[in-house]
Amino acid sequence: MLETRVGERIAATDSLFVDPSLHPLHWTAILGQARLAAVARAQVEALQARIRPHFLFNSMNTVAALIRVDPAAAERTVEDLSELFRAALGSPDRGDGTLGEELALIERYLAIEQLRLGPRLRIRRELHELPADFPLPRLLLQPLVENAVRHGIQPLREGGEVVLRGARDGEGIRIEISNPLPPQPGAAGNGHGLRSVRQRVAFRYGPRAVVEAAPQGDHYVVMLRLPRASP
Amino acid sequence: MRVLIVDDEPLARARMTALLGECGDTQLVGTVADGEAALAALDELQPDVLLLDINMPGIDGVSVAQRLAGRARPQVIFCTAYEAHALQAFELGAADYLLKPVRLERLRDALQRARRRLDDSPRESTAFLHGRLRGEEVRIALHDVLCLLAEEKYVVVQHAGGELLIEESLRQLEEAWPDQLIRLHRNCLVPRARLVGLRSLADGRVLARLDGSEHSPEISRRNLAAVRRWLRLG
Repeated sequence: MLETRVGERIAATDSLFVDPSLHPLHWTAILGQARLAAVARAQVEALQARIRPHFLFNSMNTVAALIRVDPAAAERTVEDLSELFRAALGSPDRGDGTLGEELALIERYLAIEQLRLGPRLRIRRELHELPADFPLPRLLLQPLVENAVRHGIQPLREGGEVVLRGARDGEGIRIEISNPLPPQPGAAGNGHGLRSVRQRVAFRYGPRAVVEAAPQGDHYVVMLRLPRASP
Repeated sequence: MRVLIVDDEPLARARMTALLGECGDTQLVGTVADGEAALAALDELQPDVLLLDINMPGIDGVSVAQRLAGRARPQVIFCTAYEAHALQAFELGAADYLLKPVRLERLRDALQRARRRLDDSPRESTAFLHGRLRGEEVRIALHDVLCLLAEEKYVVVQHAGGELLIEESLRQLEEAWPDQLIRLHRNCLVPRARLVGLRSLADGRVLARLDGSEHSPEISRRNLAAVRRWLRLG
């Protein structure tokens, strides 16, 4: 699928440069750049957050359980899941979403996990006067919250607290997601989600953006500082 | 059949409880939220079957099954949201492997498989080692054994209640119980289910950590790869 898309892009780009007046070497160099750009673009698309299958099937199990005991909650959960999947499966060409939309999606996600994990999952929100219209790639922050739940809360029998912090930072924003340090740091899969976020941030906001992730005391904190990007 | 449900999610436990209510000839003896609680409840609840989630905090489902490997009772039926561990599950001798959300028919099939396996093994299916203790002939259940050490003429069986001498050689024991015992060293066998981890020393030696024992026997270089392979199942 991805291969095909790259192939199509390159073919389309090729046709722009079929100009016999160009020296063959020059032509090759330009084509090389175009191909690089196409590959980079395809990689970023591939990196676009995917909802983990585990999450889907666990959520389906939650719905199946709720239908018997709390049909209204089952209905809400189906609606929440649909919104998450609409965001995850949408076309990559529709451009940025907004911070407001992303925070709403995060609430959908957390509502589902809250049902699944019960009192083990506690959430504190310290979100102050964030610009809801701030442009943001879709599903940029949700995977970080998912990581916090998966690596910080799920391994703990007693559960723990995920803290979401956010504030304006000049023209931009500053977001922090914190979770208790897991008992065995570096459990499988810890790094991939973060790497993907780093790459997407770099691609969208350039070198002025900051993504930091490190233990702080007995918590693991991911911090993003995003400048307002040019549209 | 006595069934114990092991799952860290309250709603998942509730659903499994409801489904089980629609399966005939089963009795729910308890629900617990993690592997430690499951292992702790075995003696008291005496389940015939565990409906065992895999991803759980602390001791996960695979580790629980590892500790039960080689026992005929309880039978393990894994229930998981995502098929990442199916191969391991079967290597561990699970009766079945169900994907959540579990279908009622699949659960019935799985329970039937577990029942057949239980029927095939006599109620007292435990393997015993026979030996001598101060002139008396005694026997010890294999799953109570901590470690088997070769001494000059005998093999010393270390178990929770003390020690016992037996006449079979380590090689004979290893051949008699290949699924239950694993070789750590020329002079040492341990029950596979006891093996919970490795500890590497600064001088390059590697010691085995055994469940229920302070004793950490050394693993020879020659056996290390096989031991690691076994542990990687978890």
